[in-house]
Amino acid sequence: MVFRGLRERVTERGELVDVLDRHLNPERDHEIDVYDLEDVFDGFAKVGTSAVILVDGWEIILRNQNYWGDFFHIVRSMGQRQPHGVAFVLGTPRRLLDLWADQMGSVYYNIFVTVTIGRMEQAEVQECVRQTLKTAGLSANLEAEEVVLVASDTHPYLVTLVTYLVTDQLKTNGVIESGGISAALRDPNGKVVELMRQIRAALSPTERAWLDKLHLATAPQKAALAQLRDYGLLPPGTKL
Amino acid sequence: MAGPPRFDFHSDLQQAGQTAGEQEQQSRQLLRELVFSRAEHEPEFKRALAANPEKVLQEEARRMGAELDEALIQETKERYSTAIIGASEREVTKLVFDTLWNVRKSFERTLALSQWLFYVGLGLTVTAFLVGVFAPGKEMIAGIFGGGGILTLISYAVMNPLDRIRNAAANLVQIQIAYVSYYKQLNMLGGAGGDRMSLDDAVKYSSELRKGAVEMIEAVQRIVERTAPFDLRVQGSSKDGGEASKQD
Repeated sequence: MVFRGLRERVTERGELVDVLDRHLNPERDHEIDVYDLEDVFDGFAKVGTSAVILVDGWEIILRNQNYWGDFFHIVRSMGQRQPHGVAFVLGTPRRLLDLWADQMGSVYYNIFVTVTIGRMEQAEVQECVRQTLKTAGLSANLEAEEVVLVASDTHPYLVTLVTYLVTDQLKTNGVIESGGISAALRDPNGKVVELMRQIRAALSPTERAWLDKLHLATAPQKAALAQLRDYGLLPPGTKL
Repeated sequence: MAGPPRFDFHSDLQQAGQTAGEQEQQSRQLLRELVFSRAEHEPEFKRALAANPEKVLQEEARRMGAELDEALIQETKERYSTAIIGASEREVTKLVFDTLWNVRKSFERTLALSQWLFYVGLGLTVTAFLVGVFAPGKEMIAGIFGGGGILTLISYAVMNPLDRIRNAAANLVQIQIAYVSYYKQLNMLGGAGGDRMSLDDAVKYSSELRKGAVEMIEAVQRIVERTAPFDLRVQGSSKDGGEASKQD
């Protein structure tokens, strides 16, 4: 169904359409199976265009035990075929290795390269603010950069959010009002509280308990929590 | 010299974190109330919840934006049984294991009664002997005690309580195997309406389980050879009474 949907959308490159038509022809004498998919991806590779499958929230798939076993073997085997006709890009709150359990069958995770996106560097935050202000037709503003750095705790989601708020204030009033930003951060129905809840949901019960009783946490527990910062899983504003 | 930072949003972020924690608690409670309320009013939902509590709770939690904790899953499993829809898991477990407990109790009583009978007979005989030796002129009492003791011991030998106890023990083991197997089958077949296990799979596994239980019961019967309870009519009328009783 996915590939038939893709077939309807692909109009620019004739070669891709040919590949899809050849392998997904409904008049063929059998149901489409995994070998047909391999043929499709091999066909893509031959014409020099790889399909990129983006899956956000991969951990939800991992929780479903129906996928354990064959499915991950298929992911692994397809990801390793040469030349590459398909690439998987998975979004997870932690490293794939940390989310893997031996009952899952295939050690599919070791064909993936891990790119950790947790916290941004100070220079990256400043560049982000400069670019956003520039796009909005505003001149560079050091105060804006400082506000974004402090209010976002360099968390990527908050950097984007606070940059938007600051840019909006500068465009509307010409000045930055810290009260407005404070209110947005504290808003019980706002995006920051929602982010905090998403972060807490991604934590294990033990990690959450340590976080809730931070004043009682021992040094090793704090060190374990500090590692969460690398994945963006330490709620912004948490001081260890 | 650097002064204090001009902006401080630390307390705002901490407040947001605290609010998130509070909302998490509230949503957990709300999720619990919603799920149990729906189960009370919607039989289909209750059936799905009993068949696969993890999946249904996760779906509800996602819909509400609440977090699902292990305690709620456990509580749901205890509250709604896959074995008998309408009864709680605790009730079904109690029903099955209470029956086993009663059978076991019966076996223990039979064993205790048999031991008591033996010791009473022995005691009466020893008492008769002592009275006869050390109390001249009390022959009547010694005779009564001795007669009672010997009768008890004879009845102990004739009634063959050791075999009866062995049979009771064998029956206990067989009943336990049968009941545990039955309980497991109830769980398998009870969940067939949901998607934990397909009906075909449930029937297949249940059948295999039944076969396994029957084989085990037969093995127990072979190990502990059953003997017939004492029956004068069978003893007197035919020599193959024991064989006949094995057919029971």
